[in-house]
Amino acid sequence: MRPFLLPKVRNHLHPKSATISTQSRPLRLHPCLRRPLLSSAATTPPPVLSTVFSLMASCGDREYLDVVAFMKLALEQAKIAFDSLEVPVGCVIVMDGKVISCGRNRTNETRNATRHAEMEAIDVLLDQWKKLKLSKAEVSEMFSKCYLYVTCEPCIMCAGALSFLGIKEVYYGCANDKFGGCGSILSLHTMSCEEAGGKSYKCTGGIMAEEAVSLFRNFYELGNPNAPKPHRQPVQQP
Amino acid sequence: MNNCEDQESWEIVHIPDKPPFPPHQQPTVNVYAAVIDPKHANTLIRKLNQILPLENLRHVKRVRKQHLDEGSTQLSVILCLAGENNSQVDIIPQEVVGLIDSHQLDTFITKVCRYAPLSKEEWVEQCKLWPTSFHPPTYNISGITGFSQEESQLVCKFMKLALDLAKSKWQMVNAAVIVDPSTNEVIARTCDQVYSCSCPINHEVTKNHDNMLLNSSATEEPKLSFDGVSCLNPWGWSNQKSCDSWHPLRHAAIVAIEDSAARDRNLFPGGQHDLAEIDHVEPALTSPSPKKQKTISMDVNDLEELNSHTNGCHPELSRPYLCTGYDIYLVWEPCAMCAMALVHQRIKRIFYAYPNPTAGALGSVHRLQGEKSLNHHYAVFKVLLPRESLNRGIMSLVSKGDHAKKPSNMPHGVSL
Ligand SMILES: [Zn+2]
Ligand SMILES: [Zn+2]
Repeated sequence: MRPFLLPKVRNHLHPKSATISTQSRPLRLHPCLRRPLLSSAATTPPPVLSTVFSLMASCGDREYLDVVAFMKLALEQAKIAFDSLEVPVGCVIVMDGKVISCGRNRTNETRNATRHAEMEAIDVLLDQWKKLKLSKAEVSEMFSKCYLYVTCEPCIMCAGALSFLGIKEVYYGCANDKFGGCGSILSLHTMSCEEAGGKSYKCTGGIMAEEAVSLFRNFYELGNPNAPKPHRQPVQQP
Repeated sequence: MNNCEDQESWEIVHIPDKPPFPPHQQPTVNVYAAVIDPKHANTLIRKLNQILPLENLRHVKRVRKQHLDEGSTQLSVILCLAGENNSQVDIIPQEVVGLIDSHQLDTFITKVCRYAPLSKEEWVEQCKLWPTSFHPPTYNISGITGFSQEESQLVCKFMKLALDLAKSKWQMVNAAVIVDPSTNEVIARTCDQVYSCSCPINHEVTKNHDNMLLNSSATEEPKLSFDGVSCLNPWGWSNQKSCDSWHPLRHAAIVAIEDSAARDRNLFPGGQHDLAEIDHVEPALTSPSPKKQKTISMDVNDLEELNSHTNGCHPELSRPYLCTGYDIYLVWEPCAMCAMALVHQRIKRIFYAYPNPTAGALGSVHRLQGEKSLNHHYAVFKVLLPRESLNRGIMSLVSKGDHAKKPSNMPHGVSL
């Protein structure tokens, strides 16, 4: 497994998240995040932690620590998916340094193969904002301040959706070399039609990719013990 | 109102996996190849196919046999893909480097055609570069072409249904009809819910356009708006008027998938799908867990492919798996989000009426049906409507023979 792309991540950090991180305020958790953190993360330290600490040591960069901390929360969501016998992908959406939504894969449960983590988290937000009676212009403005942290590169469907919403920035874990819409197969984060009002969003991969991949691996290996060993590296880092 | 009796004027056109190229100008990719000793050919090729199958170049033959001037023959074999920049020696995988070293191969870079040939002419041209295999299209198996009279009539009927859903007096949206072609049952029928929860409503507009009937032979020029078509204008959701229940991502196809999933849950209650049933699954990270079934639908999420575990061996299905075997009729070519959603949901065939030059993902801007890495592929067809058809109103916009009169919101390149 290749190492993380530290320099790339740092270069791509948005100034806004830098401001937030210097205040070093504790992450405020969205209610939907509390349970998994208390239950699984507190009792059984996931393999995630060791890597986080080694990153902290090598990097020492508060901005990057925030990115990792949010990705950790996304991984917690992925683990909930795993525990629910869903393909383990999870995400959180962050605005002004706060987690405002989260989601995980629910394709099995819904029998709707489009219910990816990103779609779930987006719908949570839309519900919230509509309850607050925000106008469409206001909702659009809100999305333009949102950062998505997702354990696997958004697929073509989700990458398109994020472009339509005008999200600010995306951080992902492992690349999705079969369906990825943020560089692997298509580059929908940069290829929107500007005449039609499309905006690009920044996208940075390789954040805690090993943890994301090992979740997949556990999922498939446990699910299918007789599956042949892949003859090549299953997931390529971006 | 015309019915489908004049369906001979309807035309169903297959939209192939790759953009049409003149036979002699087909796109190529660079590969590393080497001349090999015929004695070692079998071993080498077997090893290479194991180490590095040419997954996205299945039409390309691994070995080329050339007849040399002296009457002898020479065998060359493709080792691996090469970068477009000839200096990228480092991308040769380690195992292949091992083979090159152990057999002392002299490598060279050559071009092969990127896409499988669709016609004999293309094939002949391709083989001038490097031999490929040509499989003439198998008619009717995946419905590639050659629709029977009866089939055409049905296609026409379902597209008409979609068109009826999509149009209103002044505005068009996208609409979707999912059909099970084995029974001709309509599984779901929806239209965009980006601006409202039901079919096109836009009261703000109505006031000013009361007399703009789509089918009227109005003397006044109709201004039919396409701004509300989700897939055509997916970034514009926040600029449009709408009622309270709006949702920027509820394009017709997405809503149709949701409806078909709801139908599935209703018709077949009782939890998980029973395909790829695996007993004794005890996920390590699962707390000793509820008595829920220990089945994992290995196929349910596409990310499965990340581990390339599929061998194409799925057990027989006892009930429709997602939308396997179903067709969808869309008025407009879907955007990338919708087109990918239809891959995820395993739609078999897509029929659309109008191309989508701003965001279309089935040939106009992207071409998902040709993305080999995807784990599912549908066949795509454009249904050309007859001139005197349901949408006479739209036709009148472009049939005046004066392109300058085309409304500005008419996407460029839309041919009706
Ligand atoms: Zn997705
Ligand atoms: Zn769409």
